[in-house]
Amino acid sequence: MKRLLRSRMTLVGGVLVLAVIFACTFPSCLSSYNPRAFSPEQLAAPSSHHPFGTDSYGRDVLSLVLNSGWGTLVLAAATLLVSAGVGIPCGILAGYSGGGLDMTLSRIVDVLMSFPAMMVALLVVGFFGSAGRGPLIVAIGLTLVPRFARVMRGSALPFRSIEYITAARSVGASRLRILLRHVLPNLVAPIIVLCSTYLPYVILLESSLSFLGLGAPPDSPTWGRIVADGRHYFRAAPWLVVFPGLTITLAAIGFNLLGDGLRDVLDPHLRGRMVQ
Amino acid sequence: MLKFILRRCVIGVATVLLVAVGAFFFLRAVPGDPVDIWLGDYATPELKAQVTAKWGLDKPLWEQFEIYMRELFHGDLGTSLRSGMPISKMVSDVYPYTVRLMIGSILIGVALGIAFGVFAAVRQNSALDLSVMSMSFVFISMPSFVLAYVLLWWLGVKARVFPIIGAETPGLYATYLPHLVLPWLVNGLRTTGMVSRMVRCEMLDVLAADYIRTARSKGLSERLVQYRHALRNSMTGVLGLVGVEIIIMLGGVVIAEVVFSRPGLGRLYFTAISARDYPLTQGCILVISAMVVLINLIVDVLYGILDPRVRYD
Repeated sequence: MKRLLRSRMTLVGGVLVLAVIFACTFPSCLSSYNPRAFSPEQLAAPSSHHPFGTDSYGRDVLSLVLNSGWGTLVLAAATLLVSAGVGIPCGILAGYSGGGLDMTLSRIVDVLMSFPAMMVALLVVGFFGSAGRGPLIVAIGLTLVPRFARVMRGSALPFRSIEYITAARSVGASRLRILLRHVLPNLVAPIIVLCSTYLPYVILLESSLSFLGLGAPPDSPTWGRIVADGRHYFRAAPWLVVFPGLTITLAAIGFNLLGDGLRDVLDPHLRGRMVQ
Repeated sequence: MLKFILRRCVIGVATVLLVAVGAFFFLRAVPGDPVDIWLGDYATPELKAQVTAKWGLDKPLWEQFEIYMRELFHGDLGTSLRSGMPISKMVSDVYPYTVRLMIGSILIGVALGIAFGVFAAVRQNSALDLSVMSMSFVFISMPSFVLAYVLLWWLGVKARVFPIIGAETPGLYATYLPHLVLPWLVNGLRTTGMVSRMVRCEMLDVLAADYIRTARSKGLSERLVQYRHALRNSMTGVLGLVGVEIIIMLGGVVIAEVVFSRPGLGRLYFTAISARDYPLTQGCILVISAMVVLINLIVDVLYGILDPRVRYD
């Protein structure tokens, strides 16, 4: 923790993330408007009353952004949970077991990763329809599963021949017990690093899909969705696109900085291996 | 070397085929009927049956697959359900636009990325280093469509330097640059950020190595040390990243083409999905995965050229 705080960049990231979370938790501190209330002040330029301007329904963009913050973050966290939940066990099992299982899983990972993530997600979410958050989570999760699995496989590989694992095996511990009690606890650091690296990735990919009209439903928008709705008025009211867009950027910068700091402290070896 | 390339080509063709088979069954397994979507409110049972038969979707799945495979091995990608046009023609019509977009994005991503990285590394911890690296961070964290709109608003609407929508006219070279610069930047700058960070990091690692001290103590000029030794040796790591980044950029063309209303593979793929045009979606997937295989092959060959230690066996 001390080492984490020593890096100035990480500190900046932490402050940014906390600021975004605070603002989204207590939106009334910054903006007193109801994000759902329509008003006659349509497409008003940014002013002291509406720092981010208003949209085509006269809604205050700042409160819209703040109130959809948690929706965006929870969606990202849920996606991460799903893909980690599938990718981590697969990767560890493949790395630890080796043999045919490893070969099969690795081939599947290769095929899944040989196609641009954006296009895989587009395909899934496009065909399952934009019927809410479920397809979005599955689509983005699917692009992340092979990435989790690949890193976890590499991390679990050495455990095949570590002495205390051999010892555990020789006293008759089952494979499940070995994996849960002896291997998994040693992989907590890379798992934390992976999750913190992929959180901004999920936020960005989700916003891109929402931007293409395939993301979150309009009644509970995410940041990407707000930009998507605003782009039709882009020439007359650029603030509809710019401010929500910059909010996404700010949040992503914060999480990226924080993730980098965590990685340097917890698992410096991952530096080169984790590429989105 | 030749053996390596041949073997990789065989694996590549197998991968593309696997992707094609996977796409075929995936599309038919997921909900949503292209006939329903096309007919919309006009759907009556008779009309539906008629269109389904016309598109060949009434045949058993296995038979459809057989037809698809037979056509594929004859080099025929089939015809689009919606437009009735041969897919190979639709793809070859828009393909050059995507290639032009990709080449520029790769150049911006790699060349600018390396330049930024070297610039920052040789001035480690200076204010210039900090600002270049902060800029890279913004490029990485900014969604490409936000960057697109910021650039459009600034250079298109305000300054009127670049046209806002549309694409270049093939053959008319004067129209290329104005229509391509913004899409290049939008699709390439993320990679610039990633590459510059990696180049800086690798250069600093290499510059601390013993052989660099030797090179310096031999009396080589600092510039020669930096470029001949440090940069070249940090390139292998960077190349791996570039390979991954090019595939991400290939995915990014969807956004760039939609925002700038350019024709291209990304937009074709997007419209195919929206219309649930099975053969067209399959065709796009096939072409894109073939491009990915080709890119990976080129990157692997470049590895050997850049780093003589890499052996192809």
